[in-house]
Amino acid sequence: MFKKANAPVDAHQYVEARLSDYLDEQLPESERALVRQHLQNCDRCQASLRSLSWTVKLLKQVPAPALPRQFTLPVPARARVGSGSPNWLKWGLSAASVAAAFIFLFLLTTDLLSQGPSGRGAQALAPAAAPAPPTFVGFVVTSAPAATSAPASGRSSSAPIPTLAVPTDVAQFAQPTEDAATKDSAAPTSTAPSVSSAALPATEGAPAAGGGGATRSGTSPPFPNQSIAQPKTVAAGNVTPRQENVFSEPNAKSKLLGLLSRGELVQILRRDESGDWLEIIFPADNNAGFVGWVSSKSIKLVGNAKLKSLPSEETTEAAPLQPATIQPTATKQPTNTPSPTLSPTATPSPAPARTETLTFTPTSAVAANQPEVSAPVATTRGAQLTTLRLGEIAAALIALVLGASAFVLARRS
Amino acid sequence: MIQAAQRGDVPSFNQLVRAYQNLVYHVAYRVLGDSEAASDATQDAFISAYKNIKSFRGGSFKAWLLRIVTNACYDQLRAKQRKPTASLDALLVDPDNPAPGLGEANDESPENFAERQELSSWIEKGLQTLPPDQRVTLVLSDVQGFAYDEIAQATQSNVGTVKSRLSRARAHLREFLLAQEELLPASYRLKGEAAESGRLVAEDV
Repeated sequence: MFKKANAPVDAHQYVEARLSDYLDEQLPESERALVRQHLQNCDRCQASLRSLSWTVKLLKQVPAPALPRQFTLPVPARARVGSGSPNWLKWGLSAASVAAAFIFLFLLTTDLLSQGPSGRGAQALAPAAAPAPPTFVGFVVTSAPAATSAPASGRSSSAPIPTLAVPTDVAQFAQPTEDAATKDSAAPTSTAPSVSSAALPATEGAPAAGGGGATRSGTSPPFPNQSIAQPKTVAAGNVTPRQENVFSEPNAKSKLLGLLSRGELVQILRRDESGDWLEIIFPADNNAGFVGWVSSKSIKLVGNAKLKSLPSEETTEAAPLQPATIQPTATKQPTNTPSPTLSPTATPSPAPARTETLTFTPTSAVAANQPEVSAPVATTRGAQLTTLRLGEIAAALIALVLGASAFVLARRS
Repeated sequence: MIQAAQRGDVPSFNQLVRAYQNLVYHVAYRVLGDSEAASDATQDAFISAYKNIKSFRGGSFKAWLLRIVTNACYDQLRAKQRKPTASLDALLVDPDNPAPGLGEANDESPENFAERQELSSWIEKGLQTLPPDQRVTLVLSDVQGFAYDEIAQATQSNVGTVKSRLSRARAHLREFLLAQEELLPASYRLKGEAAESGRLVAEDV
């Protein structure tokens, strides 16, 4: 195979050039035989093969370097949306907040619609969603919308409540003496100042708005709508037994409405004819007033109120004509002074448009008085409703905007 | 997985990345001899693979990927030539990175491990003395153990070219290693190889 002349040199070169393939067994059989034959007789080429094999062996033992980092590609945002649970969470939360805003609007609308015609109906609804402070035991009908707005947000709930609660408290707790009065006076003084600033913008422009500030100053008439539009409390009393049932009728066999505990302060609306039962506003757990009957034996009247001097069923309807005294300082006034405070408000307005909607006019005995009284009530009340509506719709809108912005934020991120 | 990646699904593609990143980085590291350049080449290769994965028409994905890696390494080498950062210093042990392969899971003794790292650094130096084509071929063949046809596909050449490059690369590296033999760890020196080589020759007789 090798040219004879330079066979030795050529043979070495020939083999040397094929050692790599020989090592890998990649040589054709014919060449492999030649290489093998030469190797057996040539130490030099054997050494060459040996060192080549050694080199390859070393190369195979070279360790893999440590990976300095992961080379995975960044997952684009498009691929991430919908796969990560945090995104679902965000979407869910924002959707929930929007839904909450709508539910709130719905509740508000329902509430406003049901409020006008039935004061007590609204009142009964109120406890369902009224986490108002306990000191507002006394407020009733008009507290209903305020109470429902409370869950919306701390900011918006504070506005409507005091607008209503402050005068109500002053009016209702005017009659009871020191005991109850001092207790209650804490409520308005603590809540009113902080609230009045918030309440004023909300009530601005509404006729009723003046009343809030004026009542506090003691120079303007009380809220006629409140002293009239709701059952008038005539006294207050403390519960003496450890527990006492409240019934729906002046009758222990009637429906059980709730339980009172010892020491609880209840506002008394009237007594029944026998004097055995008192109609009271009692605080439910959530502090919206319920109206019910409780045994008069279980109630210790505060101050110098006497059971017998309380109005019975027959005279109850006249109670609104003896509204609470106006002054915020009335807490010192022990008795229920029939004040002339109604006169300014009882402006003879010949528009008893909404008289029939007022629930406190069941008997005809006082019907004669009603138009005078209720007419302004109706208007003032309407105005107040407007105020409420504005404030609460604003609150609802804020909630909506917050929910929507959360939604938008979630989408962006 | 490859089909999903071909539809542009990044998570699926990343599974491929996880499967092959060790191989790709190892090739790049041996070819480039520099962990930073190897990282860049590896990242470039995977990005390029993601962009071009639709052009993958079946066959060996590994070979297809190797071709991309090889090209990425050539790109890095060209960039290195324009801006040579590694001069003769590259032949010295890099004090900051004396042991490529550290952190590699191993169950060998510390002595063996240290010797392997030392060998690694010598081979690395020897590889850097080779022309890029030979270096790539040698790495793919002897370090990674690919077949000639796979290497031919990866380097866009043919098996004959691979054989000749490999032959020259091995011979060249052998000279380098023989020149350094006394510096190599004792267990890796040529002296103990006589018996095996003798067997190599003898068994075919």
